[in-house]
Amino acid sequence: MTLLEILRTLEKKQTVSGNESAVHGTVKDILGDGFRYSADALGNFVATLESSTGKNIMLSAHADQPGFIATHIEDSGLIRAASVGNLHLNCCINSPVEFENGVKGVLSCDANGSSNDVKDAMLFCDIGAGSRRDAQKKVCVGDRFALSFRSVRLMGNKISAPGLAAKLCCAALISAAETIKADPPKHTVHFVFSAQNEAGSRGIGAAAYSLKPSCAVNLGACACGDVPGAKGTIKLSKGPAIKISDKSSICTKSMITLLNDAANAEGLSVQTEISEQTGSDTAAVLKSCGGIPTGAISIPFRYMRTPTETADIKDAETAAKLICAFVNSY
Amino acid sequence: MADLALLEKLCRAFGPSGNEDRVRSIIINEIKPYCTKLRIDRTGNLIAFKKGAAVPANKLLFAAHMDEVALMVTGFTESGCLTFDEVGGIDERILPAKRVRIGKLPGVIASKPIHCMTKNERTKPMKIKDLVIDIGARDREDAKKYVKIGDYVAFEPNFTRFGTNSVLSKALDDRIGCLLLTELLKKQLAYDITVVFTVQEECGLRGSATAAFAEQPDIAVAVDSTTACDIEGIQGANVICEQKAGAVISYIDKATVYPRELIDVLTKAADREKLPYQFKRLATGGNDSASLQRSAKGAKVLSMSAPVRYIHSPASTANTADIESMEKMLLLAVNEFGALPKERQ
Repeated sequence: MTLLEILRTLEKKQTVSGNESAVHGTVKDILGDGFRYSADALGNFVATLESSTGKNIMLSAHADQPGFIATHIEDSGLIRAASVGNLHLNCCINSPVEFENGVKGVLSCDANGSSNDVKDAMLFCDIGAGSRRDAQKKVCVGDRFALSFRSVRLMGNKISAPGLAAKLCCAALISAAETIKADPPKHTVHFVFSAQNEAGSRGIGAAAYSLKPSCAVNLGACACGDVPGAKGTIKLSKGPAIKISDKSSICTKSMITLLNDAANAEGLSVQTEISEQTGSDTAAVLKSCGGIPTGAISIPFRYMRTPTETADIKDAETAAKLICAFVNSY
Repeated sequence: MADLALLEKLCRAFGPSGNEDRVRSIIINEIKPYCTKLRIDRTGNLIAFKKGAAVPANKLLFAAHMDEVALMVTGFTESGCLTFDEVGGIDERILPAKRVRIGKLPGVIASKPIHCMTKNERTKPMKIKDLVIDIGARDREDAKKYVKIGDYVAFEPNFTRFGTNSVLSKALDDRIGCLLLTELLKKQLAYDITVVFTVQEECGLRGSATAAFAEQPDIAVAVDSTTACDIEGIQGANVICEQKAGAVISYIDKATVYPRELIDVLTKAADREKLPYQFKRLATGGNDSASLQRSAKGAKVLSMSAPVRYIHSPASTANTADIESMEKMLLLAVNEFGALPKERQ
């Protein structure tokens, strides 16, 4: 499958944090035989290509997307919710949303849908119900919903959609897995589709603890600095970025070198990321077990955490190639 | 019937985060005859294992925290009063004029008298830095004979039966949880369980992290207390939960996203047994389930909380009907979770 086709398939499953299992079957269907599959208590999904050298590589991308969990249905039929993931709530209100069971609604907030500082407690979802009884025919407390999926093609190979960061990074990891399977690697490779990244990188540590990898590479998203008001040097369409650090982690020097060397050897265009991000799966893996040598590759995104996350498919394809090059060189 | 005599004993005990010894001793005394194994780990957690009629496919762990929100002495004033800071989260507006104990030593939280305040100061609540604790000492030298920097300060024990079937006391959060798990250990159970009475929950879920790493449960239940705002002037989701409506179960709070599967198993059984329960309407707060979920290889977690009004204050209240329905709910949790098959890996 092309990366775009993989993306289209993943986009059909809503995976708000805690509901990552919705996509496990899909990942398994795409990857097929040849992998050993497992899942853990937190919802991390692992596809492993076994080898007997004794070394093992953990490659990860998070399977969960940001969204909302219904916490209370008012007498009026309006539904209160908690957000999961650091969405820019100001940008997400007055947007269409969809529940995991297909029910459609609109997200708004107290102050008649107009506020510069939207907090969780102000949010509500309107599914058009006239009363609590009415609403309960369609949804219940605990149900998850996310910004309605609506993908837009821009010029070149650029795509824009809500929750794109999660889906595209997973798609790139799956694409890499397909290539690596076809050309069996020296060492054992674990492809981890991690849980609850959006809630605070809560899942990946448990996966690392169980797998005890010799090294790890996390595939994630980074913010572009090439639009007005945005900071940093990352540009869209200039290739994936190899992470030096973010606010909660400094990648292992040897891993940064290996990733850069692999990129050079294959003639891949890459950028360098020093990020403002406060918290990442990379940070969680670095500290896991007795400490794991960890590197990170980031796909550049504009407008993250809004209904229009935007990326270049070519950047994602290059990221997948870089993962393969790294695995071959380790 | 809830053992209110034991609840009173637990609530009256001195147990700020990091100084839970008194509470732990009371619990050990109660549970020792009923446990297969008992140990205290390096962090101070009390970890009990009790054999049941069968070994569950998933290792079960129940946790309640022994510590209460409290204060700590940070220094002295010339006049022999004590400066202090909070240990755990307290709404500082409720502090002035409260009676406290520094260990056994009585004191009162004092502030600038009203006639000495400016007009502006009179309209604003006082901050901790504007407050002191008066222990009746003559001066700084005298005070130093009785108190050291670093000494813990708790609200004065004040357990009272209250209203119709309610209790009023400091530290209902989480001595109610401690009571419930103590009572659970005294019962004949269908499955083996591990119970952890944790330390330092109130300052960041700290004790439970080490206990979780050591015990590595498959399924863990945090038994805690949460804020009930079913009081005058509060409506809708801001009520958070109500008294006399049973155990509060959360789908999400500030520290944990809970797996739906466990909630569905328990609530289905509760419906069958006609046990009351409710869902937390606002995603506030956090509890030991966060550490239990993420330690080592991870676990599936559920939180079950008592609805407590005026929580984290010296005058929190709880309804005994809720305590009793939680007692039944816990037993149901042992039976239902114990019977669950091991997850297909």
